Amino acid sequence: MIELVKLTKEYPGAGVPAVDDLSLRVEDGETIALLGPSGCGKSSTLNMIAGLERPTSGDVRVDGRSILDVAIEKRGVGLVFQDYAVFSSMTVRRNLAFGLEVRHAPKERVREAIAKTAKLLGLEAKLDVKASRLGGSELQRVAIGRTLVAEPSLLLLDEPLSNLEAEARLAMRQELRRLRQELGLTIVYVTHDQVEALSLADRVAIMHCGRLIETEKTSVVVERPQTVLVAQFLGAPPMNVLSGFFHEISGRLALRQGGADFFLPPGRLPAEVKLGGGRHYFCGARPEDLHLTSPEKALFSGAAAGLERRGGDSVLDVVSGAVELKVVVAPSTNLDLGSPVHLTVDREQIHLFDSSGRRLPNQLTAA
Amino acid sequence: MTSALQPDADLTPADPAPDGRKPQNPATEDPTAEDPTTEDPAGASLTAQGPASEADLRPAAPPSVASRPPKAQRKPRVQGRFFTVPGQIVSLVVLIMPLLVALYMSFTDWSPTRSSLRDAAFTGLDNYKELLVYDDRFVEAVLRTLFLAVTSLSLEFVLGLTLAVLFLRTFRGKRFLFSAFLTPMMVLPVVVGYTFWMLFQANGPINQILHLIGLAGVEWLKSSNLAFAAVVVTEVWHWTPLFFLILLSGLNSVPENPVRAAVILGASPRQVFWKVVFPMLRPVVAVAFVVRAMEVVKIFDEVFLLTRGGPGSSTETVSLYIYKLAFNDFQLAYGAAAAFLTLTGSLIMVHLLLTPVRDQLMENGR
Repeated sequence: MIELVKLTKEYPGAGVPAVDDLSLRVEDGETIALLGPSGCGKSSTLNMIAGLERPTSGDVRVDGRSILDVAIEKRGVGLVFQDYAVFSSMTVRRNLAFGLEVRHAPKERVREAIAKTAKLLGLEAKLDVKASRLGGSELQRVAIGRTLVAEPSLLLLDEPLSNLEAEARLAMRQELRRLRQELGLTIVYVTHDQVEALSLADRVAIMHCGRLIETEKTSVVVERPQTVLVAQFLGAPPMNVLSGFFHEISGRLALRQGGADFFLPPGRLPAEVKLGGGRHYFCGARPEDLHLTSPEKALFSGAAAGLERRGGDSVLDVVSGAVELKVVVAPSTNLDLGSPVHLTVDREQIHLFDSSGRRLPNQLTAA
Repeated sequence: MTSALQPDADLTPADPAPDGRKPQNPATEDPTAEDPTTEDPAGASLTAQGPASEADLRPAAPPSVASRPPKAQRKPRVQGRFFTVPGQIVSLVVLIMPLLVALYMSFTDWSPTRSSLRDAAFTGLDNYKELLVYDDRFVEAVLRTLFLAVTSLSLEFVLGLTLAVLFLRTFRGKRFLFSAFLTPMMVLPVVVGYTFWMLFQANGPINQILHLIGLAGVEWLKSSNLAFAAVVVTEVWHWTPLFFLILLSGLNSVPENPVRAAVILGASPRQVFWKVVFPMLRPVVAVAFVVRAMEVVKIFDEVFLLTRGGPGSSTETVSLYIYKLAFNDFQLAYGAAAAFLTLTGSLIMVHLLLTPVRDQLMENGR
């Protein structure tokens, strides 16, 4: 079990800490993805776990014991870099052997470990090829294999797939899933790609500006985001979030933002939500959950302002005043610019957050 | 604004001509293609189509290119060539002609004291044979130059690499020392030669210091071994900065992550350097060696000022010997042959030095 305790890293002259008071527990055999935009402190966190950087404050513990003063090579941590960092002047075999050879492991053991790892990663045919002649996904496999040969108890992956092309990425994702199952490794995985995070990890830890804003089971994090930040980060396109106050217009609840009203589906707001100006809330709905409807049933009406075709579906921009909503529509949708659009959404698909951006414990209920 | 156009209408401006003719040149056949504003009057109209329609699959017309008037094209090219003529004449007169004349000269027995080059007897490869087979002094000068190259380049490499590795760390006065270490390289060879000639005098500063610490001074430039050592010391002092500079920039461009990976895998600093960093540095090392080797083969000024090749011929390098042949003995033809042999030799040497790293130098990307 790996535990990060109030981990903080400040770089001299940076002003803002790169990693700020980060606490996280990773259970044995668990895969956790650190997800966030570039520059949010993910890689710094990884480097601190690996021992390449020393935290300004806080602690990294393995099974309850601090490893801050443990030498890098004794931490039992493997790190795979985004650019693979394979030793290009060596053959694949020498790359795989590196971790054992520098520790003067017996030759027999080195040979066995290479054979085993090469088989695991399908590199047998490439063992005597120079690493400089390999392609992206092969380099990736060498990088992972080189790390696995040293039998780490914790595997750290720093954006391992982002340098690969789409097809290779898909294959490698599958491969990583297989490795994880076969080896039962504990993995901390850094990525800015939510699809990668969601498809590989048991839990997702979402970081923003050096802070951990949410750690949640992968299955839950998209369904019920606990903060507005996460809601606005996950999904493609991410959730539509309006901010304003709730009020009642002829018996119907509406959220008012910048002069435009977004009516809520029939239902009751949780008791702690107060109506009227000065009470600030966030209200969100996923683009997939908004539907086109007739003017009579509309909760929100606006004008079509743009349409992006994505193949399987299209994303429609609907604008009314200062409010802009994105809606995922069927690919056959045919709309002219400026033509009126009427939207509706189910009650269950409305997400309510308080003024600080935290999800309200109770959401919209049946009237 | 209500007409629903194809979403990709702006990518397919060249519809087939109404009469069905296949447009040959969209720039001339379809006037609308020239003007992007006429292509999609309702450019903002939105239509999401299911399967791409036929119009979507039609290849977009190439961007209109005004057909080039060939004359206007050709004229600048002729003009351009015309302007290079003076340069070509200069290089012909001062480079290529002398080279060819010298090459011809090396096949004759010409000496300026006897006759003109035109009257000189053509002797074929006699000069070359003489040099390689009978002229021990030439062969010795070649071997001596090679030995000088090996010793001074090895020392320069070791010192330069050590300094470069030290300069990867931060320490007080780094900026100042960096400039200081580079200074020797910028001093004129003549000045270096003269300075070291004075330093190595029997009553010079080096002997004075030796006296101060109780050692007997030596006649540096009067003994063949010591004189050679003096040449090596001078050369190393003068040119170690170049190695230092090239290797430092090489070290700085070594990517960080392989080093970090090696550290995590448990490599000691020594292992990291020799197994990971140095292999990546090899092309840079080779280039440094090539640059310096070419210089050492040509070494003249420093040796001339320090020892004039003496005592005897114990410090005589190839270029010094050729100089003496040509300008002391006026054996210009023989000297030219020696010079061409040296040129061929250094070409082969450079080729051999670059062979092991040619792949690494040439490959692009990783």
